Amino acid sequence: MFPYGTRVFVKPVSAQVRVQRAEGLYGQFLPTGGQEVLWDSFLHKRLLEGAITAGPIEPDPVTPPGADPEVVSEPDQTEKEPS
Amino acid sequence: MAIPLNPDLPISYQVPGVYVYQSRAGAAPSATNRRVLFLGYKTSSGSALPGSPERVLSEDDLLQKAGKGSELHRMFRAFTAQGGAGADLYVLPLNAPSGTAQTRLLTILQSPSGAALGTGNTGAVAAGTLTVWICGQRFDLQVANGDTFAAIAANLAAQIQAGQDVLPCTATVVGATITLTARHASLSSADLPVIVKVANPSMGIAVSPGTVQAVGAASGAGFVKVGISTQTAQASVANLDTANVIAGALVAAINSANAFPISAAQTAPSDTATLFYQPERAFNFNSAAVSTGITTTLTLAWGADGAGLPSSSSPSLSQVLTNLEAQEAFKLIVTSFTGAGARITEAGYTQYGSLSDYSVLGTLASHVEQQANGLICKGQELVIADTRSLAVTGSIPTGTAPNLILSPRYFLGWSPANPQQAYELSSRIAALIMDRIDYPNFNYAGQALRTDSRVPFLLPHDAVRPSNPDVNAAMLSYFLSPLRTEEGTLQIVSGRTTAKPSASLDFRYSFWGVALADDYVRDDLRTSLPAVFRGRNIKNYSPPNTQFTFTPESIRTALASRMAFYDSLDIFDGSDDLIPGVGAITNGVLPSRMDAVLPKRFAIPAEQVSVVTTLES
Repeated sequence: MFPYGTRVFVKPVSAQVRVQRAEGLYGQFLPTGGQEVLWDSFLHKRLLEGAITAGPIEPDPVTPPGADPEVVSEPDQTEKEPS
Repeated sequence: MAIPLNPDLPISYQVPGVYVYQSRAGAAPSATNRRVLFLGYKTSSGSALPGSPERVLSEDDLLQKAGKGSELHRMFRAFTAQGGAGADLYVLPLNAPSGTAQTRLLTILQSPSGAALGTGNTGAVAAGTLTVWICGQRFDLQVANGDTFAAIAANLAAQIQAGQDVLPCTATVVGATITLTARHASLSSADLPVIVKVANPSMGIAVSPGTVQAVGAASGAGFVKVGISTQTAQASVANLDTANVIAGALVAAINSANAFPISAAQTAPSDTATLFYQPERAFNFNSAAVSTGITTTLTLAWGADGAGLPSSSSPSLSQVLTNLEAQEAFKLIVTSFTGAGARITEAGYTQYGSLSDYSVLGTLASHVEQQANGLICKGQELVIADTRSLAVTGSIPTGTAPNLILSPRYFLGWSPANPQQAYELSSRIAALIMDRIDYPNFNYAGQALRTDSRVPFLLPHDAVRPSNPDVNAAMLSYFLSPLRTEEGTLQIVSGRTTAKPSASLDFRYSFWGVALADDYVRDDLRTSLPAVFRGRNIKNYSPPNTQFTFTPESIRTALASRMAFYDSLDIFDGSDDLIPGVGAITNGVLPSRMDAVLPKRFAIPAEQVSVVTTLES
């Protein structure tokens, strides 16, 4: 799995399951669409329980010199399943 | 001074009485209510009238009313094994709905070699003991060298059948497979934990809860997963993977998952994964899923999934709750109707397993809240428990309508992968509370659940013991009462209500003791205050000259007196400085009503001590 401290994209498996965002962040929950978080042992346990999916964050695309930044696509933020 | 008005008591309501609204903003000397209600299913052999509360005087009495092995029977046994001797026990029996009873399989097989199914043997190759725990009840079978798999199953089934009067299921056997069938065809039957242990590996036998078969090649990428108790194993599926490949990947995923409660094996290549109980690990709440849209499906041969809600019982739960409205308050209500299932709907997957449904818990919460208002004044708490994973159990308080986080009237115990049924835990918690109810503010942190010699009570496996961060999250994010093994007993880490602190719900209502003390004060006021005004008229402009009248000051004095009394019992934390805040006046619109205010400040549980040690020269 990911080393603790790695930025990963995490998403709860169901809108009905609220998952605390990280260890110690009480009362803060992952949005149903998921979000980038720092991977920690708390989230690792939630993954083993099947409460979340987690995937690596794709690097930002590099804008070629002279390219129109307007047409550069946004980084893909959709959730990735664990590899 | 400004006197707050009881918002539940309209001027148009004029039935004589005292009506107390419990303000939770900011901030028992009479006979304590000791009535405990068990709300659950009875079996068809129970003679009680469904939907009608009845007092229970003994286990024999309960057996006659609710039937052997019924939920109500097992609640009673767990409660009395814990204690609760002074409680008045009542049952509210329901007929099971026309749903599906959960079943569990125990198939005796040759033990696998790693991920490969064992072949060649037809029975045990050495003597030893096979032990099965069903909801904590232990069955030991002596296996002789040469006993066939079918003979072992038959002997084990005979043992279970001989002891199944206290089980929530019955056992049948065909060939080498025992089927445990829950007594109630309902969703609540999905909570049926089973543990298996083969004492001597050289016996060459293993026990399987069933198989998972992949059907059809994948037409896209996705995932397949299996969930048992609180854990999930997941395998990736690639486009064009055959069913054999998918089943092989699932076997590998199960066997490589961290401390997973089952193992898997197959005779590769095969589209089927055979599952095996892992020693001393609870098998419960089994589910599976496969990504939708990839053509592949799963065929599960691991028993039926519990389904059916009391809302479709006859009479229905809502009718039964109407009957309950006419009853006096029950201090605690214990129920199996939590709606816990093996799975929660997950988008993008075809799912298998009992489906959670919290609608019934919402119905119960509506009843409790409506009955607890400032008009009806029933101080009732619902005691429930759950043994699933943190986030799944944590979905309960916000998954009901109304949300349980809006009130301190719900005590939700959480013990992940506990080998006992959740309603046994809630029954024990209720008994523990009733043993301490004379001091309603009791601090429940560190209190242990226990048992007696009659009723088994297993501890969860060390592999599923919640960590401190999980326990803290359970309390602060999910508003659960975590239970954890400490010093060889299952202890209540902290008695927390499901109340989420907010501007309208003070933090102190997070504690069971404060919720119970608040009700105690109300109950006491309702029994003590009538003595002040019964048979008397109000005089607002001159002092009373006979015993037939009183003034608003008499109410104020009576309230101050009760506050001092609560302080003397350590229910209140100081009354002297609060008493000046007591007020009582005659209602300006309805002159036969007195409006009064009583400030309250409860002694609250101490749970932490922070010490800094300093090094001196």
